[in-house]
Amino acid sequence: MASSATTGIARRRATLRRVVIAALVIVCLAVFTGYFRESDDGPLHGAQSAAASVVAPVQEVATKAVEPFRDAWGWASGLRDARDRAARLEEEVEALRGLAVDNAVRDQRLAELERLLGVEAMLDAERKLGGYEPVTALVITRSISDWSRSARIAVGSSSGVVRNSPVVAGTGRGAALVGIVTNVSSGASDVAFITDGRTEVGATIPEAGAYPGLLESITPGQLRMTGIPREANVKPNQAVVTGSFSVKGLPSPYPPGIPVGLVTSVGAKEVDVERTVQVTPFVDARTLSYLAVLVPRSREAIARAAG
Amino acid sequence: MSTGTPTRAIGPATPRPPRSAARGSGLGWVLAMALGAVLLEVAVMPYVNVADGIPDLIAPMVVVVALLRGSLVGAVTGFGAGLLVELTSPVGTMGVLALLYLVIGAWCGRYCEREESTTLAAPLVLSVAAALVVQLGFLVFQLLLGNQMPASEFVAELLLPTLALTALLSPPVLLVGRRLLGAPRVIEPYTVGP
Repeated sequence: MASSATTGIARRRATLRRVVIAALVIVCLAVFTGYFRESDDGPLHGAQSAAASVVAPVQEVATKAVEPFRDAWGWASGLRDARDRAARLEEEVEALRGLAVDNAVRDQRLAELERLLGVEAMLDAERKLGGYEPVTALVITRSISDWSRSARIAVGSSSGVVRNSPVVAGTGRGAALVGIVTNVSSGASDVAFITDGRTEVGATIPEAGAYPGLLESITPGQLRMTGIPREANVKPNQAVVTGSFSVKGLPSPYPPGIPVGLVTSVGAKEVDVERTVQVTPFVDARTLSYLAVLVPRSREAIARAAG
Repeated sequence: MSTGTPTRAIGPATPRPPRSAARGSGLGWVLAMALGAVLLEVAVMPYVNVADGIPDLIAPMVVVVALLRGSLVGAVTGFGAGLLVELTSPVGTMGVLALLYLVIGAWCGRYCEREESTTLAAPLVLSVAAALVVQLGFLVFQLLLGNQMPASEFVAELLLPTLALTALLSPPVLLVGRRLLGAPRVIEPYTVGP
């Protein structure tokens, strides 16, 4: 009697366990199917944004609390490369000193020509980032998967951030493009880096004839530029900047002229009509604690972000 | 007069229960462990990287919970922790990690109350295997979405560093889990006793 009761309970327990697990599997399938089928304004994306807003303050505190440990880890892991970098940087400094003198002369001549041509107003707009206001933001978390190269920052719509706001970071060469805002809640925003597989950037190489190209991620940390014709005079170490042209029929959300990276290799086979250009970004965004969001303020910038 | 057998001069007459034995089902500790692991995974682990590998703390947490509390608690913990990670980290998916950790929890729970669950080696191996399952599952999902990564890059830059870091950081998680949850005990509906 007792044995049959025990067997009955065991059977009910096993059945219930299987039902619960099966129900959770179905919930998972339903959630990720719904997530990828709905638009960015759908309820599941909304729930993700709401959760981001709720946990952003907690993440901010946790991020600041562990910052010394992160810095210590970064210092320890960076120590290995420090000697090589120092030697390389010394060579670069020598080269840049020469370029700085050259640039000073060019700046002087450019200022004179601008006055002659009356284009000061346009350049003033460029100096103010063409209708954008930079908003500094703390990185509160990064993606835990390398498949999604993205981060969450501690500014959101309450600071004026909108979807498709460009994101930059300071480098020794000035500000460089890091990514774009893909999701915004009131107190936090998600940034997809330019090295993320989902991000494409319309770009150009001014020194090679300013042909319009498209930058996309190939391997972790590297970009490939497509659309550059064979006749373009592309060489390693040329700078790549954002272009103002549309990409695949859509207007580019990036203002023109933001530095993106350096050409690291160029290739073209006899039969190719385009060059294969590999680009290394100026910034490894995964190492940064702060980013600057370019919040669109002018009508043109807002229209660019709205797509 | 000595009898030759050692005697205890002081101390309790009856042995105390081990301090690690949790009272009740320990589900409160399971919740605390899940929240702690998610917080560490989201806020700290992305910065503890070697190449592109990031340690997976959720996998050992789910493994130890499943080994000590059975399939049902393991599966629910895996589901909840995975979903929480997807809600709080800009990982770009929802429901995928929840499904992968759910499967791990349900699978590892089969070893609960078996001899393996009381050792350290078996949970460690299971943790690394769980991290491998998560990485491969995520790879398959990304391929289905049309995202690509060269196989050599995936193995050398992402998979191997992730598994190595997970193996390094799993023992503390497993030890904390055993300390908080105590002896292995299957918790399911109709469970009788404390």
